[in-house]
Amino acid sequence: MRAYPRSLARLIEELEKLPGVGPKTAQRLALHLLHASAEDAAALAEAIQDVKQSIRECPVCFNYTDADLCPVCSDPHRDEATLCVVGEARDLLAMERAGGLRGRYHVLGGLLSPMDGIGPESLRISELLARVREGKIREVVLATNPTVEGDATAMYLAAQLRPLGVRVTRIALGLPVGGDLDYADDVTIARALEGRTEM
Amino acid sequence: MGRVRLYRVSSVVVRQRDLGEADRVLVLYTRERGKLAAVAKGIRRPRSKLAGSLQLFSHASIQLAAGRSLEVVTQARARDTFYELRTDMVRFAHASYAAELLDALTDQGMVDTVLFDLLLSTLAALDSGGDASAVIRGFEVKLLTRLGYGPELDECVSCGAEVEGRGQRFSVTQGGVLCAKCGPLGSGAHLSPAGLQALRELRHMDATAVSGKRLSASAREELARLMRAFVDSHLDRPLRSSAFLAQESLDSA
Ligand SMILES: [Zn+2]
Ligand SMILES: [Zn+2]
Repeated sequence: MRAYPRSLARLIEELEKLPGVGPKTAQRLALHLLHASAEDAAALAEAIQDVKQSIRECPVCFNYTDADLCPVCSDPHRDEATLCVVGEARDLLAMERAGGLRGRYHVLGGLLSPMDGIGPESLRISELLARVREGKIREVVLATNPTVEGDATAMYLAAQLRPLGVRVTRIALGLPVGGDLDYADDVTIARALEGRTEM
Repeated sequence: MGRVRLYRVSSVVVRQRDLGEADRVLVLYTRERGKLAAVAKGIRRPRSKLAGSLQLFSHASIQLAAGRSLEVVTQARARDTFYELRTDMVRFAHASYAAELLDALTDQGMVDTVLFDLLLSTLAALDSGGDASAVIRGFEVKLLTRLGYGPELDECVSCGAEVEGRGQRFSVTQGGVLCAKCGPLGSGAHLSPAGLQALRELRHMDATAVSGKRLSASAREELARLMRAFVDSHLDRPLRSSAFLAQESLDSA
């Protein structure tokens, strides 16, 4: 790093802090930015500052928002009776990209993980239960990751939600679209069978 | 470039963390090589062929390529995913604790097939619904004994006299029971006759046998507290899953 002027070294250092960016990539990105136009560089810097200043958590669902309520919560055409629970806001964005859900969301802010010290009180579970207790929600769709932590979280939530008299469902997990059956592992096949649908 | 060295091992995933866009670094406890860290590339993509076999706690037969700093997983075939561990909090939290404790007390490169089999039988016992408290106490006693930390349950750790079944006190700092004479002088924790008897039995029982054993509510609580203090005395920092168990009141469940 000694060969670089101080300001360039600093940019490389900052870029290296980004997830998935190693020293080589950081160097490549920094040199790219160095050669970019002044406008492009300024636009990037401004976009980063803007996001930090204007983005907050939606007080209802904990999605990202730059207004009082997030775009989903403020949309009057959304189905109020269906609530989809996801681990992180990025999972919500993935669900929205797919566009299959007409209901609303609840972002937990993580998944239960004893090894990481993440218990029920570290997640927005009490907020979820409070939303369901309001009485408008009829079905809660649990859309946490199909991992050990995601499944354990879904099981835990289902046990908390059922006594409140709502229908609790889990998104179907199974064979990936376009995959070969004989490549799939036993758990995936077993779960695909469990989640089979009427034809 | 030389040929990449490939080898097969039987492994259990004891810890994992995300790396980059779609990869994960796995800490594996293996039968053949002890503990090692390996990268599973693309494992977070839905179509990954590794994902189903390399979930947390999964027992798999895998192929590794020797890497410069980390090994790379090239193939994996699940032997048992211990699926039931994710179906309730008690099993999930106890399995997490077993994995975290083994990880904390072992170093890379230390091969021990006894510990591998102990981990596997413990996960299997929790998976099949065995009494979580008894299974974990058995795991702790056998793990610590195997690593040479005790606990000493037969002779007084202060004077060496044989300790009768009546049970007296247990010294966490000295790592074992105190006899009737030394007990009152030291600062040991209370250990009931039933508690001492249970610990002595757990030492020699395999996890399958332990899982059928139900501890009484008082022994359960007593041993959870005692073993927690004893285990903590051998750790640099307390385990997160141990705090989780205590906080959720699952440790004597
Ligand atoms: Zn919202
Ligand atoms: Zn003595």
